[in-house]
Amino acid sequence: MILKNAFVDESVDPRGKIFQVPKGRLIRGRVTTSSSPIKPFERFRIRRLKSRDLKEPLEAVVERDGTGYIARILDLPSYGYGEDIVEAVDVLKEDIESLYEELLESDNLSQEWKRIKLFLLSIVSD
Amino acid sequence: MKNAQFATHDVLHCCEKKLDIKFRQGKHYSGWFIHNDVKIARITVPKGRKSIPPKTYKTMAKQLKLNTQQFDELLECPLGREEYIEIVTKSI
Repeated sequence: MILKNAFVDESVDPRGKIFQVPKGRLIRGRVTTSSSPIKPFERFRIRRLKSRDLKEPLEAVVERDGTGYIARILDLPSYGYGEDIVEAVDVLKEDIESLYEELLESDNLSQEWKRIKLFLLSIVSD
Repeated sequence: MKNAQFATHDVLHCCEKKLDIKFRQGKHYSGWFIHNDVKIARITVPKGRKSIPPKTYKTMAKQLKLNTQQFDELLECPLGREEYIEIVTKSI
């Protein structure tokens, strides 16, 4: 499975992840090769974290950063860095889930973090 | 912006020593800056990078509610804990 130039879109298919490559074919569970370079700015939606579903998708963006990629959420101060897009997105999802669990553990939060906690409580399915 | 000068372990070390941040391990390290028992800022640091890519560096600075120049100063030395607290309490 070649994922280096893949753009991950986990939009709807419960039977497996759909990977979309520029000028490539859309195939469930695997990707075709693509020699096209990844676009510098890709937006996508996250519908599931590492072990939790989301009631509403989170808007995210992935960009080239140095020799790797950075994936960020538009509504949260979370990011993931990886050698490729898939790794960056995996790390981002783990970070969001970690953040969610840490916020649940604590009430001594600044106003900003209280707002973020309420936001995550409203969209994360336990 | 001095991202090329610093490795991720420099950021971890500085945050632990100056800001008393305790890091958890995961795919990245993450930790909270706590002031007067209140969680104010959370930073995520990638593992094992000898130099930090520019967008990641800016994102880490933003997580600590600093601009990149202030983040440079925090990592180099001029910005100490008290100065950091002054900056961050103005922004919340």
